[in-house]
Amino acid sequence: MTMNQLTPELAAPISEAQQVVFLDARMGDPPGVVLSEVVEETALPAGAFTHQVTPAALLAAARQLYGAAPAALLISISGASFEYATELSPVLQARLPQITDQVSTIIELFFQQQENSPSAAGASRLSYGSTKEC
Amino acid sequence: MPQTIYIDPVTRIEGHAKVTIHLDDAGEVENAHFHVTQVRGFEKFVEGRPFEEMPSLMARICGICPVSHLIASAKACDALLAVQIPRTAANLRRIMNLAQIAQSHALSFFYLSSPDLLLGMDAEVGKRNLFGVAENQPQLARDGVRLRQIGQQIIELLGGKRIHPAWVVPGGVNEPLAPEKREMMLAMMPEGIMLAERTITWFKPILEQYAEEISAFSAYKTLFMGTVTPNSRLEMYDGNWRIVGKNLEVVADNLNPAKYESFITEAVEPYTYLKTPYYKPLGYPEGTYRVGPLARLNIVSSCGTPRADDKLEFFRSLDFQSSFHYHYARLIEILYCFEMINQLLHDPEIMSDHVRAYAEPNSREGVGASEAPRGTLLHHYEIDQDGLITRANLIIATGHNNQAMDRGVYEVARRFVHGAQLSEGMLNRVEALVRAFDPCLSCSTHAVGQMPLQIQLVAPDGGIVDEIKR
Repeated sequence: MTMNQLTPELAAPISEAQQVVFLDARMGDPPGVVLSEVVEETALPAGAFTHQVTPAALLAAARQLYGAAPAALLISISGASFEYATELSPVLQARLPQITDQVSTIIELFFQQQENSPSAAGASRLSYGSTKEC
Repeated sequence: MPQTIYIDPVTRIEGHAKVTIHLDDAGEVENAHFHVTQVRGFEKFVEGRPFEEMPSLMARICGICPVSHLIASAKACDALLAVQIPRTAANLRRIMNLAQIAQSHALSFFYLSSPDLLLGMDAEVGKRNLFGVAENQPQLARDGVRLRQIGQQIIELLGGKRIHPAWVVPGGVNEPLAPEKREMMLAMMPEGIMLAERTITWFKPILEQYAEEISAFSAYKTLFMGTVTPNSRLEMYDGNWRIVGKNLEVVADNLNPAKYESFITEAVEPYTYLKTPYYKPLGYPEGTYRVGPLARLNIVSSCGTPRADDKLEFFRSLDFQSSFHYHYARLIEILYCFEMINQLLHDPEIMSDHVRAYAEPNSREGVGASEAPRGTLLHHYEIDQDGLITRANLIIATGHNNQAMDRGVYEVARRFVHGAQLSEGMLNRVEALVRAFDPCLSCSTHAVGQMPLQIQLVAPDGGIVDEIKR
């Protein structure tokens, strides 16, 4: 599911999923660095800005409104340029195959771990991916 | 004691704005202003673009109401082509517009305003959001989420995606309605209608808790403007405009939107990037009018759908000048939208495959107008012999309401803000006035200029005392 931003109405489909993976761009690291972390369900946020719903808040909303929240993973890829454009930057375009492979591997490992040990999701925050540059 | 209070940013609205409240030496409100602090520049940077790109470009003005701009822009392009689009295309566009209005109204009511309405204007700040509503009344939150989903799913079924769908084009729409999509939309209508009615039932007694706010939100009186059918019914896609006066008497009727420059012009105020349209014959600010749900229901005789008309009866008993009643009007419009979508989907002609008129440009100037969630929206384009845009003028729904928001902020601040004892709830009521209009500020600021963000404490003599940020 491709979204411009996370919105509260995503809580409904999230509550029906067995796992959810959030994939997003990130600033601050050299281009192409892939990071991942398990998203912990938190208490509902105190923020007033519905425009800035976080993955953790969505999980909490899914539990609050629909009674269920799946295991969730956030994968972020550091970008090279955030200027207006219609394509990826050349540096990321060149690294796209490796990035895609790494993201696929991370997702596969996450799903495998869920199958083997669903309760370990909260403990294995940094077991996938790393600061590995593509 | 601070002599100017800043509410910056105004929370739970779309876009960026601040409010300044100027106190006198006794700590009472002397003046207040609503400042729109963002600049978009669309009118300028579309110059030189092929007119066929305009619907797609203009949809990018906003991520909440892109369909509104798609439709007004496409209608302006229809006028450049000088075509009458097929009736099926007009009705398909109409369905998408109605779905857009319903989902936008749901966002405004449930996500942005229901925290105040349910939890109270003085509730803890950290709880005054959708998640606070979810904790207190999960069913209400679920209903809001579902209503928004239904509207978005209809947009996606028609246009291929929920935000910035490319299906509305000059001359009509890109493709006809597939039978399975029609069935999917029809299947959602009973639920949408039920949820809208359930919310209205919940909200009606809530109004009794807000008598003081309702009164304060009524202090600044205006005209009202919107689109009507020839038989004085609610109309969201196409038609002439009506203006009614401060006592709902008809001031002007059958106004052709294509001739808008003959009866509407815009004032510029130094404290905001948002221009202020007004009705020319009455001058400024006497010619100030409001648009949007409250205005639309004030100018019509009926909605034209049975359940919405049933709810209209209670609406008529309310103070029609109070901006607080934008909320109730919004809920009636959600109900109307789903009833009307249901009607349109049952029209056999909705399945016709004749959905687009083709032509080269036959006019150098085109105006397109429709009703957006927040009110009347207009796009005006001029092109050269190559079909490139030479001038674009947009009058955005929220812009019509600028003066009403500005003066409304002053009136509410005067009633609730007293410098000796400031409280979060006082300032929240000022914000609530703005929120009642459901302004879409990203849409409405399109003049080229600079974008300073100033947070200043201003003494009565104009000197800068300090900076405060809320």
